[in-house]
Amino acid sequence: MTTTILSSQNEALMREDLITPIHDHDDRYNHLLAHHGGSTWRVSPEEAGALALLTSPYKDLGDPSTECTEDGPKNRGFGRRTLLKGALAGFGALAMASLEPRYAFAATPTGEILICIYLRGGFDGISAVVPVTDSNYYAARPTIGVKEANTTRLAGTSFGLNNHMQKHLAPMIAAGQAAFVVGAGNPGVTRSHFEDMANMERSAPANMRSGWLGRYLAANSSTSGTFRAITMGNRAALSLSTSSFETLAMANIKEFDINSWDGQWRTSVLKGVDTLYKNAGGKATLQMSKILDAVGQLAPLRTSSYTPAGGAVYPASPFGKQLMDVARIIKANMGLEVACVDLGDWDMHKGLGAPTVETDWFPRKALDLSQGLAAFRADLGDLWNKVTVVTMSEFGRRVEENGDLGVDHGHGNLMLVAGGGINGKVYGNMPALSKGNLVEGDVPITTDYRLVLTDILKNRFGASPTVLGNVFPSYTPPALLGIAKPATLTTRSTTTAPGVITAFRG
Amino acid sequence: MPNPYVPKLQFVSTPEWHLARRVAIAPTQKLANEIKALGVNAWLDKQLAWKNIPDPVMYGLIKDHFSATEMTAKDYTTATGNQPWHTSGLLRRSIFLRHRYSERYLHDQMVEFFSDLIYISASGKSDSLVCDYNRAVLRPHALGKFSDMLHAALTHAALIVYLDNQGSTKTDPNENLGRELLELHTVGVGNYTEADVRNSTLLLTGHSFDWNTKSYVYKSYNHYVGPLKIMGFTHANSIAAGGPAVLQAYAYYLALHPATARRIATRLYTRFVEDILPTGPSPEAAALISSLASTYLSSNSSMGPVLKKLFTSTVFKNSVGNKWRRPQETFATMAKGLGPNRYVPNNVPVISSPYDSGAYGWRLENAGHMTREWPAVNGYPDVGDLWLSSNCLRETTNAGEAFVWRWDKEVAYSQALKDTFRVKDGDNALVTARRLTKELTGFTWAESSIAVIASFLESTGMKLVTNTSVVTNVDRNLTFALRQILASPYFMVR
Repeated sequence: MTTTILSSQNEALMREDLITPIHDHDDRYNHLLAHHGGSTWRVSPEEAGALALLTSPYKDLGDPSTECTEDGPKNRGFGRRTLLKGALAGFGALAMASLEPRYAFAATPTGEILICIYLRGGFDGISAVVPVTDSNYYAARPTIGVKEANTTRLAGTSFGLNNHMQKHLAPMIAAGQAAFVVGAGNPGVTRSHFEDMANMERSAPANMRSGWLGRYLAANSSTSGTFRAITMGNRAALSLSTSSFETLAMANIKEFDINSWDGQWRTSVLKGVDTLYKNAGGKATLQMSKILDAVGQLAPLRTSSYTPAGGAVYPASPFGKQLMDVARIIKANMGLEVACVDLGDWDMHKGLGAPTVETDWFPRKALDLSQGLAAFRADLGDLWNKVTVVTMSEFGRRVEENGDLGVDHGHGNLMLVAGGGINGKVYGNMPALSKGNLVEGDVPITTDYRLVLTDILKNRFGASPTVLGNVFPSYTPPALLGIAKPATLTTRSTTTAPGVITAFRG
Repeated sequence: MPNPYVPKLQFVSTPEWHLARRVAIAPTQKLANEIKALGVNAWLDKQLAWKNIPDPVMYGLIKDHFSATEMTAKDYTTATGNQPWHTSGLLRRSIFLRHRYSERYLHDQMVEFFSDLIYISASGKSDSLVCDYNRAVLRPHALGKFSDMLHAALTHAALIVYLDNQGSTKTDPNENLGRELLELHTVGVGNYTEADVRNSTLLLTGHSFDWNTKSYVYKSYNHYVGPLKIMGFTHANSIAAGGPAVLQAYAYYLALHPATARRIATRLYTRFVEDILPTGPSPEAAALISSLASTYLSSNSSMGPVLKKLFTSTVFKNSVGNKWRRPQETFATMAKGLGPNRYVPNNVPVISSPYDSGAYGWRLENAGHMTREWPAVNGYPDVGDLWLSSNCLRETTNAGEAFVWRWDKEVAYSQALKDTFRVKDGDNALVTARRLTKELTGFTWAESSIAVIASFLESTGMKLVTNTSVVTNVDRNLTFALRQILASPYFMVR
């Protein structure tokens, strides 16, 4: 790899330990700050590049500040091999970037909304989209293999959709709005839950602390309204990490409140907390402003009961409730662009279950997932046309069933992409699951998960190659699969002005 | 150096309050007074000799409700009617009760410190074994030598099961423990190669678990035999029966490795001094960490000398107000700070509903910090950033409301707030606000924030205060004012 001035500047911008892009409201005043040797000073892109060349990115692998994060130990590198070689990962699209400054924004709002559903634990893709014509599959899973009779053939393919999913997904499949990508995954998978999930969510070299969604949001705008990106959960998803701003995490709408007696004292309590936190400055002020703003904006939703539209019946599960809350926020026009939702507990090492028994582990969860998605679609009505849902899991599972009627960690998996602007069909490829075709006994990864996400970001969200290069550094996508239809550019109006949180400058 | 999360606040504190806030999970004015009376060195010595501290309240609670936490796994299996996993619920509860009632402050703090380093989740594979792990590994060695703790952990059923080593054999090795031992428990990433992980794994083969006795057992027939090299450690490992001796040598090698020393020193720094920013430690921080690592090595990994050096250092003294609290610390301090109280469980005997951690436990869960329930193998993070998430901050702000109104009947207070805090109608509002904030946080607050508290004392926050404002409607207004104190960023800092 030649070390041109351009690629060193690109590298500098990836060195979050070294360079912080400062985004001003007025893009003319965007600039770079360098941090090194205990000092911070303003640098030009050229100086940043030179500094990056001088300092080694992998020097302090034992960096204590990155010891523990919410998704596991850091400094793993994007794949162990990359880390231990100590080489700079190939920069892919970055090396082909134009001379346009990487931190200038080209916001191209399409008004689209992305829902990322993280199926944590290792979703068993081949129990969902079943290779019903492959005798190898049934030979490897004599007990837990899903019989063809318990599936519904996906038209024009050799796959059958598990009926526990077909049951609820039928309408959206019939409408051509559900895409199934087989053999999808993260090439850097190591079969470790927390490492692989973290790698998938950060999608970056070792020293980048941000997540792919965080980089996408930051690349499109230096500001973020309170509800622009939310995580349904206790803390913001790792994918949303960015040094530019914080994103909201909430367990549910109903409880997202500052508890207080009602009436006049509620106002003074909230005002008191607001003042105390405004006196503090920094991240604390930003977070509390965001919380109070969200509490205020959610008040009408909190205090009213909700009946899903379109006859939608959400499953009575935490997942169902969270999807319903997301739907409410979308319908309330609060400026939502990205929502992350977890549906975990897929780690079926034991007792994956019999396909005919609805209460068994996989069937139960497959029902939850598909019923939730179907209800979400029905509830949204026309708004579904602006929504794209994508599922991700840290890895698939082994082809061969184990001694405990379960399956251990694997590689290739299924990604489901659904939405009003999706070209519904089966994508990717999965070879016959004979031992010779498997990777260490696993379904091979034939489609990089980033290709699917790139497809969605480019086609639905209008992301430029520059932005995509930021979002997925060290990745050059091959030809897109065409999963997502190009969206028309529209601006989305909001009924309330979103609370604007400016970049935290410390 | 200002606290990076609340850069506009100045933190003014006495040295004894500063030490109390850092050492104790739930510091109080009373504790600060005790430190002042004894002097820092004498108090630290007292805390280090933890077994000599009488601790009557906690002793009573263990005896009355949590005796299982002092039994071996075999015995508590019998005591729970062959449902040993119930003890995980008892363990979690007993820990947060220690935070509220125990006087062995430094010991409790260090037990949690090590629980996050050699982490085993209370739920999951080792749920029948974590209670014994806490008793046999964490508590005895938390203020002793790390080498002893590491070896004890590696030969304890809980860790072996948690990281899947019981089935790791010479023909079918499982790398989980072999890897995490290097990555999480000792030297850390960047100090070993994949070949080292492989050898580490082979070394650990045979170290297994007996379900019947619920204890560690060595199965020599599963042990890989042959020369081993892991970083600078080599061993001929020439007989199957020699596995335990090889493990012991390896454990002590790792515990006393300079990279381990540096890593533990850095974690102690993060726990007790300040978060290290992504740009790296300051020169003073680096110097202290280096010094702590040296002391660690020269004292054979003893926590006593390392901790004393840390708490008497200039860097420590100058780090007032630099750490952001985590929910276990915040809630324990709230519960304790609001007055003398006792634990009165909803259900007696507690074993009848082992997982019922009450409203207090529910609050910890909602804030993402239930004792020993971090979902990954690397233990709870200790960087303020992550505890400032919107949901966690909101939960914490709300917790104050629950505590001041005393909704949780399991926390039985013996005094009305106005008696605990000696406040009555007619007291000067600003003077009272300054006193209350100082008693609860140990910081001298800025007047702009004092004014908020005083306004609640006078008018439930409806009017701006003046120098002559007085407390009115003390029962209501004091409660509201205390809630504001607990909800303030000053309270979130230790």
